Amino acid sequence: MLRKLIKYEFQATARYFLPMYLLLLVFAGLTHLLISVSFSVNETLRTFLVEIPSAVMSFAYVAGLVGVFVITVLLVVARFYKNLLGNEGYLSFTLPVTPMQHVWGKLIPALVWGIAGYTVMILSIVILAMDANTIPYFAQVFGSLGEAMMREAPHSWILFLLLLLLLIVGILHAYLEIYAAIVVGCQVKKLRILAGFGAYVGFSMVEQLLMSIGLTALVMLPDFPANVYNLFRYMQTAEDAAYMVLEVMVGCLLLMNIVFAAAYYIVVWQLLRKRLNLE
Amino acid sequence: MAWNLQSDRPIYAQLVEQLRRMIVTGVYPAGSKLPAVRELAVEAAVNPNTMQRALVRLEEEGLLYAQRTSGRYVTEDNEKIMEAKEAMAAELISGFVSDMMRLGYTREQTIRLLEKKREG
Amino acid sequence: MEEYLISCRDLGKSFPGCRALNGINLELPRGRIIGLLGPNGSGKSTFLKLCNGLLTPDRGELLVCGSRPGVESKKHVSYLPERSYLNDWMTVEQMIGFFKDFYADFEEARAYDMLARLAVDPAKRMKTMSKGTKEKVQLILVMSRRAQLYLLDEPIGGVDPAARDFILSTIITNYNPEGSVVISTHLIADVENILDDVIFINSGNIVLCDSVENIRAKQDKSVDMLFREVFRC
Repeated sequence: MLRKLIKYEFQATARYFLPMYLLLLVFAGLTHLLISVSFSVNETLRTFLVEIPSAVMSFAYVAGLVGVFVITVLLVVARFYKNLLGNEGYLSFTLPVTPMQHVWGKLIPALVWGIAGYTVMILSIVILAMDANTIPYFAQVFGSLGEAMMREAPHSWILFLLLLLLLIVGILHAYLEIYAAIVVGCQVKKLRILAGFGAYVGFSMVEQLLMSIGLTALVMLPDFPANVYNLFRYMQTAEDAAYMVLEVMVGCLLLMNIVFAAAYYIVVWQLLRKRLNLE
Repeated sequence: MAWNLQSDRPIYAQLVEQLRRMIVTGVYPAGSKLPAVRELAVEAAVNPNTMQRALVRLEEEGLLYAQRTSGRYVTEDNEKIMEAKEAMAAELISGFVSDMMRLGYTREQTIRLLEKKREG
Repeated sequence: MEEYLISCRDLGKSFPGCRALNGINLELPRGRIIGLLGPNGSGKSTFLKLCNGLLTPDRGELLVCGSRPGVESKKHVSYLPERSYLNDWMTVEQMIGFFKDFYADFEEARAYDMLARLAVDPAKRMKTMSKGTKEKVQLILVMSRRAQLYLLDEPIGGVDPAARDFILSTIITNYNPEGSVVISTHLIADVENILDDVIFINSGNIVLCDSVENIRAKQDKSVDMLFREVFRC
């Protein structure tokens, strides 16, 4: 059942995401084209034919980057609210499916689109920067960077992996926070959207509070992070120990994200299970 | 055949009457097969359980008989059908006569009026 | 197989500022077509929504097809809400595929047959349809399942007389001795001939629960007339 839910969720959202991503890549391509042409056109024509359009195009591209981000968040909110808690919820919640399958059915596609969004953003930057000279240059830089990392710091791939994981968990955390705020907002009868906003602000404040308490506690530890470094220093070389300190820090961040995400998951799960009340 | 159901009497009784009339008037001739309960229910726009009860009632009267596998049939016994027809006629007549009496006509006057109607 | 498709004890539901259901007790057997009758705001929709798990009860017990509203009961219940609930970006064909994907008891051929009879174009998108057509599509989807329990909330509220006749004859044709149909409506004259039983509900209480034939035999009047008397304003 979850697979079917995911399939239909992709169908419902692809109509928005695919054209949006395509548009961003086209904007990047056009901007790239206009900028590269501007070097080969004569002075007088340049202003009208190239400089103004390329300025406009660059602006459009930047707006596109921001737009992708904003629209992704809006769609995550709209799909969850409309399809589960609005009129369409009457169909969704009469399917022989558990509430949590519904949540995963929204979350997994949203995560995939989120990652795709980042990928497309990076791709668009590559398009913007690429030409005959830069491609081999980039390849060379990244190649040697990789080599150097493997040679000098065998630990770095773990760090890289942790950062990637942090990205994914961070997205899940952000979406689950939104879902939790929506579900909490729907516990009231009127002004549900406003209540949802309120809940979101409340959640963020609680997170901030907990995080600052945690950080304060950490800083209060004697000689942090030197202690951690020294701990690892007994076992490893200086570089490795430094990496390990970084890894521990990213790991803590990761753990925190997981804890928050799990908390929101429980809020969504319990409220949908026990207090679902469609208008 | 249009079904005509009044809203202030049990539907069941009305279905029995109208089905009986259909059999007597040959809408469903002797020995013919009756449509399925569900079809009849759709046609009359009534509840299938009610239609079923009406059919069972007519089975009990002997106007219909059920064959386990193939459905319901009108009896082949023409006498039975005639009996039902006469019972209906008798009922109509007695209703008519009592209406006439309520208007102030005697039995003889009523018959005379009927004969006059036939001549005219 | 459970004897009752719905059974509830002391089922209550309140909303802020209004008590929608006031602790009702009810047992609905199999093989019946049941009218859930009451004026607007009497608790009909609330009851049907509770049976579908779209609302959570405040108190009491509710069993649908032998279990509390959930995945198991939803496999056997076909629900027509009083509002338009289809994904409006889909075509009718896609909706049929959707129902077929999620409900094991959905019969595609019946859906297409009914669409043809009501002259609805399966390639059309829900968004482009009139309200009446949307209602027809919803009803077709709901009635194309071989469910044990059909819960139809105001199925004849906004449709034209031809569609109403179609709906009623579909309900009769669809009749099976193991399943039951609950029709909530305030248009009683239109449906009373096809009902076995009626439940009168008013301000969250059940006021009467009897068979149509009993009411007519005992009271010498139609259910519609009785309803008007019971709910006289």
